[in-house]
Amino acid sequence: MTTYAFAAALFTIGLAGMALLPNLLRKLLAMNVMQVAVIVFFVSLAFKDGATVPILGQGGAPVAAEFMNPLPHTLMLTAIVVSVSTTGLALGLLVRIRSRFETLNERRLLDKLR
Amino acid sequence: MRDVLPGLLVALPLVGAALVPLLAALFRRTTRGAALALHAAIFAAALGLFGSSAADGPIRYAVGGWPGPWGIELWFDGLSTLIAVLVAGMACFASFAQTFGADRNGAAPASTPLREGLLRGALLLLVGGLLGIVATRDVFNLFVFLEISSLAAYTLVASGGGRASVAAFRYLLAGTAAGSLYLFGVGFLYALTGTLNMDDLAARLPSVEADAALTVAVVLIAVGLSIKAALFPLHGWLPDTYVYTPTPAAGFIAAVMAKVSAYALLRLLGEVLAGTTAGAVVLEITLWLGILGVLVGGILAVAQRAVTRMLAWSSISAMGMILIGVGMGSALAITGALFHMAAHALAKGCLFFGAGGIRTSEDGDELGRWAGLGSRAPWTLAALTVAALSMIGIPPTAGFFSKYYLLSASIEAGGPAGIAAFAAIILSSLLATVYFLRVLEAAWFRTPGDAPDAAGDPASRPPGPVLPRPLAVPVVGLAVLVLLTGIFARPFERHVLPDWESGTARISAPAP
Repeated sequence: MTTYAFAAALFTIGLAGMALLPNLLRKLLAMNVMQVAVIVFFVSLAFKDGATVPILGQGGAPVAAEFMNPLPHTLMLTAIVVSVSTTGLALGLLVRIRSRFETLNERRLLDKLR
Repeated sequence: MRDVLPGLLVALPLVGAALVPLLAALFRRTTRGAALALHAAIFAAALGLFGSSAADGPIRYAVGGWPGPWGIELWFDGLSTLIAVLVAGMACFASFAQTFGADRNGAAPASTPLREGLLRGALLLLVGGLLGIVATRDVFNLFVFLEISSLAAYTLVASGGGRASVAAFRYLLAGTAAGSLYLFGVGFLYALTGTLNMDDLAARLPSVEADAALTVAVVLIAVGLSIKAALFPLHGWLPDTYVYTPTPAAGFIAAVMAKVSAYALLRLLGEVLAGTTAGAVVLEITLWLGILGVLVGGILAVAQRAVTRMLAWSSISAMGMILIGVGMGSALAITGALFHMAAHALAKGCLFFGAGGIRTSEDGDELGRWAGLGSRAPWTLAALTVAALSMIGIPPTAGFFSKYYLLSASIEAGGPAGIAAFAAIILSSLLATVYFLRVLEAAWFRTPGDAPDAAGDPASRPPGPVLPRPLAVPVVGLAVLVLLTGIFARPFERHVLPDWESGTARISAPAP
């Protein structure tokens, strides 16, 4: 339960940062915090006390309680790939914005665009 | 054919997205032909699926031979194949328009075969992502396709350079927030039910109906998809994105991007989560926000002086109208929403191709630049007039029938929401009359000299036709389609409506 609350708090911090921080690079970092929050949520979803990785041992019928659910973890592999590519594209955009407008401050940028 | 086409529909654009830039890099020549052939093949596959699902019933396709709920399934019924045809068809026009290159405003780098190939690849990727969203039956897979299409869209928006990069970055922030909210909601659904398959979810949700986490999941998913669908008041990313995107991509993104998200909203809220109390409440809220969006979008469209920005605000109004239909949820309302998706995509695509081209050829976007265009390019302007009339809702264009269905649905629904929706749709049509007639009046009845915001003397205008052929062909073609869709509205209604009504029944139907 605490991990869920932690994930929700992290998500809110990220979302608030994206909305409130003035610098575009900081907005991007806040976006990453938000994405990590979702990953934390999924990973903690699959966690069980005293369970191990889902690799079957020799002999004996497997007991579900002894293994963690691998699916949320594999889903998060995909989500991490998505997050990395989004961040990469965003950084590329920031480089272009910086070289064209010579600022990453949102207010100054809006002034220049007007 | 039913065994091959579903896989091809999603695989073709994704493979093509890698292949076309590769061809461009290897041969250093234009990839126009290859890209057009691919888009035509994708369109043919979508049409084949549309016909097949209409004739022999919906198609369930297990990717890699793994049946649901374990594997990912694709699902093609009247609803998804219709949107697939729309997306693939618009993509053909957009690919044709891409020959036009980026707008010649100096901000975008010069076009080289490699750059052209990369942009064509991005368009194919966008199409693949959107078709994936339309086809998939797996909520996590939907997230992946949502992000694929978004990444491709950011690239296309940013290809305008300068201001477009800023618009693309803001779009990226909004889009990623939307995707993360959606994924968070999917996590809650998975924690509650242990499944990601839509059919499986719909079957298991009644047993967790009492859990408060379900409400959180529904709200997160609805907010996430509403951002992508530009539902008021989550539309902030839309105007700048539509205005600064280079014309060929803008015509496509403005036409289908937000609508595919609205389709996903309809799928999840209207079908999978429809049985839950939280789903019903969120749909009611969607309806009211749709009504507000219709009015705000219309009023702000009237306030704009730049034509493309006016079109962007009119899109927010149109998305509100589609979501009114989704929110009402009756068969008639859904028909109206779907029909408005089609009608608005065709007309808005036509207008964005036209207005974007005119922005380049007349070197400016203000209303005054349109003065006298009617006598210089009568056919192009006639086509744009047809699209504008469809946006207003004048018969026999497609826009009339979508508004007719939505108005009938409002009367059928009754109550305060029905009355408000009815009033909002009528009022937005009046507002559309104001802002579109202003443009048409400038184009047909004014000469460049007597325009109030005189756009300089004609001599300073760059030479050449008002619309180059890569844009003129899509504009005229789409205008013809707007008329045809309006004229053949009845068969359309008969195709979609029964399919949607059997929607709840088919969830338990076994895989063929």
